[in-house]
Amino acid sequence: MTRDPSFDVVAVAALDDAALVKALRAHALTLSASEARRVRELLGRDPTLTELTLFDTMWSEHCSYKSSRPTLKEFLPTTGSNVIVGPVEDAGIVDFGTVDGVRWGVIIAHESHNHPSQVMPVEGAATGIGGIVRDVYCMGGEVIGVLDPLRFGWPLGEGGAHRLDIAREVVTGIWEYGNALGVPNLGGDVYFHPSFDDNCLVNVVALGLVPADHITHSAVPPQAREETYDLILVGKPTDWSGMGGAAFASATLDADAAMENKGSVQVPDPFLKRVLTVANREVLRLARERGIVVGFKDLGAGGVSCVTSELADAGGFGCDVDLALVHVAGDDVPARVIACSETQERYGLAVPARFTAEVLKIYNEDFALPDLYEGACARRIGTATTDGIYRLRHGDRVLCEAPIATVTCGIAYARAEAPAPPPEPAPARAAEAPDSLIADEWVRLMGHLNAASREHLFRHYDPEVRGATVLRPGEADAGVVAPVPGSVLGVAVSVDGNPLIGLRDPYQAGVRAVIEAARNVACVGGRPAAVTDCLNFGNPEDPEVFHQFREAVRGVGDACRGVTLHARGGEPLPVVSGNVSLYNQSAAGRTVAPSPIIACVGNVADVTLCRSQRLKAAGDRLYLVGLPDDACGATLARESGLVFGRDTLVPADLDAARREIAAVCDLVEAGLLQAAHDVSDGGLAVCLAEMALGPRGRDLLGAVVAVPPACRGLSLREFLYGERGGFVLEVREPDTARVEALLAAAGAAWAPLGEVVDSEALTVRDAAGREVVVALDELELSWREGLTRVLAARDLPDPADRREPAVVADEPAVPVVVVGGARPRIAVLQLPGMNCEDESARALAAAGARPEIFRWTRPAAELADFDGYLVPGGFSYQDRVRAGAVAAKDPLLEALLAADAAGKPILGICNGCQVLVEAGLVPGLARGRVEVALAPNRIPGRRGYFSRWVVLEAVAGSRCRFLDGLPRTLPVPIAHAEGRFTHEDPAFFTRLRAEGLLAYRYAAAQPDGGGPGNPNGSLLATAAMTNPAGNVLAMMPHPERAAWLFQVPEDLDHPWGRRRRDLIGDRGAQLGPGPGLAVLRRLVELC
Amino acid sequence: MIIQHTLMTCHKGVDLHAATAERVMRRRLDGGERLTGLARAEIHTYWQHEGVAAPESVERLLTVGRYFNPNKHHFAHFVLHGAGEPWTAAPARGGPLPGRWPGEVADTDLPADGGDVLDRLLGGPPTDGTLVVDACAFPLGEAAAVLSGVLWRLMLAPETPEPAAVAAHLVEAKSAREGLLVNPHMQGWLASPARVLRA
Repeated sequence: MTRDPSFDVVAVAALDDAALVKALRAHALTLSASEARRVRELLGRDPTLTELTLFDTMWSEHCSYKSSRPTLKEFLPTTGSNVIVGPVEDAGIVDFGTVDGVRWGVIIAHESHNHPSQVMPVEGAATGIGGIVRDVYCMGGEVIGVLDPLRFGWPLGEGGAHRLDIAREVVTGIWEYGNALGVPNLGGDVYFHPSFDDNCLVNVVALGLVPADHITHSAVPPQAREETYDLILVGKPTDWSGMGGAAFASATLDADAAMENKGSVQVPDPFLKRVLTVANREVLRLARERGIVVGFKDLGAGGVSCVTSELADAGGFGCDVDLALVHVAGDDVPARVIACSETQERYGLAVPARFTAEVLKIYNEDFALPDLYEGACARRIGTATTDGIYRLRHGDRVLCEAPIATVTCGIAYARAEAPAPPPEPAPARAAEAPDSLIADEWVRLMGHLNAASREHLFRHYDPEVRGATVLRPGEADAGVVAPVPGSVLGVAVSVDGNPLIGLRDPYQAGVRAVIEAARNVACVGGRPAAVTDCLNFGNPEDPEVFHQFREAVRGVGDACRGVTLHARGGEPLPVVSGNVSLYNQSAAGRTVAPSPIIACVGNVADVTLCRSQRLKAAGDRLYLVGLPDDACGATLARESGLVFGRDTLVPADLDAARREIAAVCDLVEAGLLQAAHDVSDGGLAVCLAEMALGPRGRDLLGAVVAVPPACRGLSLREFLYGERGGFVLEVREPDTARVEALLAAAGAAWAPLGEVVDSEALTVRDAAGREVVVALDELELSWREGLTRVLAARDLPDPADRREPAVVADEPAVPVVVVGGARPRIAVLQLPGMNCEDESARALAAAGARPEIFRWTRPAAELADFDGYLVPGGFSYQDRVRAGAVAAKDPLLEALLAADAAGKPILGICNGCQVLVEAGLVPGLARGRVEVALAPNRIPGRRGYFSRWVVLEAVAGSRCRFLDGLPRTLPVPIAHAEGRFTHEDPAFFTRLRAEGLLAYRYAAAQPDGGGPGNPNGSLLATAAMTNPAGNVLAMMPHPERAAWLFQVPEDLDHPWGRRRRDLIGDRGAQLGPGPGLAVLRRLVELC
Repeated sequence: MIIQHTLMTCHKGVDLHAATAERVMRRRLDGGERLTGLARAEIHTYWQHEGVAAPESVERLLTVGRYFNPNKHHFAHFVLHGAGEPWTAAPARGGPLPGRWPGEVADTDLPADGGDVLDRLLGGPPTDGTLVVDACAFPLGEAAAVLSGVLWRLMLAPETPEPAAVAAHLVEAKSAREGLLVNPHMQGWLASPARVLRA
């Protein structure tokens, strides 16, 4: 190893500013000369290079909020009667409710990974997800959802190809990480704008759930005054990856230094994260069982030095850390890199010394970290001390020794702020083009990159893993999960932020982001409970940029006080966590649009009342809540080149917004709404079209709309394209009187809008007799392909994004009846990287089994004691080599081959299906021989992961015993990247069909497997396969995600979709069996 | 004349896919005891008629950062003139890799201190008579301009009889005890002759 300069003392006092800066930059440190001198002043001596590296991270904008902290404190409300943990730790927690005597909290965290994603889109975005979920996990919770607000440069024209690559690869990074980790993606938003050409914005939100008495804190607990507490580091071995990441994220992005900057981007590993997550759960469970209080914190910016100093200081302790005890990758990692590198997938724990051995055993033996990842393990690296000193050493050599508050105290700047430019007088209304052009404009507007369907993007994400999702992306304005099994309580979550408004008026951008995020959750019945903010701006040293920042934060604060927690006596909506991302600016000076991005969580009292935004039935009445005006500045329609209205922004009416949001929440909770959608980007035109088109499924319904009397002074364009904001509500005719009374009582501005009609057109009329009629098929083509034709591979339209052939299902949706009797013991295999074992076991229990999660480190021989087996979904062994290939060689699979020979039933789902194929359990012409393959999905225009609901059809003549007594068709979701059943000789599948070894096919596909109904290119549209004895079923779709009725999309074109719609609000039915439970029930019956 | 470009990336540190595969092959496969090492590179390759511009997607392959995280990868860009038809034109199970493949080095981040770039990319040439077989696996039926696959380098004990057959046995997945690296129902693969490398 070359000489390690980490211990060198830097002669700060002796160097002039120029020489000092040169010395700092030589070590890739971004501290200014004055900051380095401040370090010296605090320490009372010249610092070591390691100390400077440590302060470089701790004083970065990313870690210290040195420019933003006073502004945040000045404007944002952070407290409230529902706040369990405010913005003082890694994530905020608000009250979720009490179920069976257990009080639960919703955890929410919000981060940005902008700079890394610009230079390394896949890994930058992936580590964004990786970082934000750690913030939830280290509060002791489970992640129940993630969301991704994304901002990309304009992908067309010169340089567009590179920006398009960034967009595609960011999406890839998100799905590669989130799907593998097993966290459902509940939403997000995407804007394309030239201001993001040099700096994309990749924000990430994570949502979690924790029993209030299970919350862990990022602090050495007070008990450390009574007994010795060890500091434990667990996870990946420390390496150079991500070195200087926090400082890089806090600097202007220089395209000329792109190659160097890539070295600051961390390396993600969702597989290891998944194993760590399960192991952490076991450690925390054991600690609770023993009554032991632990401190728990993830490693992000600043690595080991940051986690140890902050854990200790937060508890009022010092600590002694020996870097020689830290596990590292290779022998050439300098001490300062061990101290400060941002190597991913690591956690720090503070545990009593008497508990240390058990903790290490859980990680290193029970979960076999060293076997799964070279160099990964858990190690004791230090001790909490009561002397208040932060002591960092490598063996006997001291690298840092200082009062711990010196290390963690941070730094602050009072930035200059340029006065706001005087507002321009409101211009006169623009002269408009003839109304006859509106229909064509409307169609074009739906295809605008900022209005078109996001389906091509979000189909890459897994929205349903964990089995708790009620509303998925694309179905409504907010995602909804019901995270406590058996309870109707839910969480609604949405994000918002409009760069067009940010460019025009940062204050209004802050205000409207809060209002629109709150409106989104209200649409599904979520009462706004808290928000988080991610504040993305340029260089704060530029007074104009800093003014933008302050204005936006002021707007967020005012809106939070205006929207209020209306169910709690008018308290402000609390900002419980957040992030500030500055220096989103290129070296050439181009700054991003001021982008305050808000995530809002809402408490849903009853998820069985949550509705999709799609129109439900002809004859239903439509209402407009919140009436448009002629102020049409910063609207999407104007951005797209249309001329109408006054080019100005009027201040949002916070009182009106609060009343409207409260009213809509009341209406949803009363079960009075068939659908609700907020009016935002693209105005009423886009809102109505999205309600008519919605997610694919049932036949389209149209609407006839009349301009209300209160809007008669407006032109049709102002009425249709204005973005004053509000809601469109669909109400059954018998409920109109109650709805109108409730709206009136709430003091909301509202008006009847029109009617849902059984016609494939949207019609808008005004009192003057003018009429606009636009065909839904034209709107649909423009909307579905607007983004797809830009993003799809090889410039081909994505057939999966078009309307699919109808599935004719002539049988009723009859729930499975689970009868009593012996409950067979079924093993749910937990191979490392699998992520569906919990919901699979839950569904099996509901189907009448005694499920037991069987960890891979148990002796395989114990599997013989079980009556049946389920191999669940996920990414076993990280899909190393090939999906399912390594797991297929695991001794557990030999045991399953023996169980198969004994005739025991085996069900493989998704990754479990891949494992059974690679292990030769199916098709099993010769048991144990690899006879087919599950290859990467291959459909035109799309690569990678694909998730959606499909309808399966039982293959006639199948030998599969699971199919006995089951309906012919089965609606279930798929979520996979390698689900294409194939063989080098396609005729082989014809033989398999003839021999009865195919179990299910995708029902909408053509008989030969072709056409858009085949979601992955499988031969003969095969979705599931069996073996000659019929006791094995290997299926790519997920029946456990269709085990309860509430999981079924209500717009699904199948009797089960109709059943879901018809029984809205029926708690017993919605929490009762869904179509997939029948498959699991058959596994139980075959035991 | 057809020119084959191959971008090859290798992990700087431990390649977990290779490490796991090696461990599984040694522990679980018949003949695995002959395996002394396994290295892996991801390959992205395309064929271009001389004088004909490559598609934009190919050009971007070398400029967009996805394959070039300096924390993680070494890379090399090889060019093979007179490469013959694309592999997808006549996929073979264990057929021979083209002679001189992957060709001349056009670009790499490896220091120019001599030695074969391919060998250095794969962790350096094994010494003491170890036999080496390179096997390239690629998806069957791929229609995209760029063909992405994996180069596996199997290192076999010096005394291994019929090393090509042993390598084939280890490569092609047929049963629990036979093969891992390639599922022949979805992947084609080409291999080099078994040989001893010199540093």
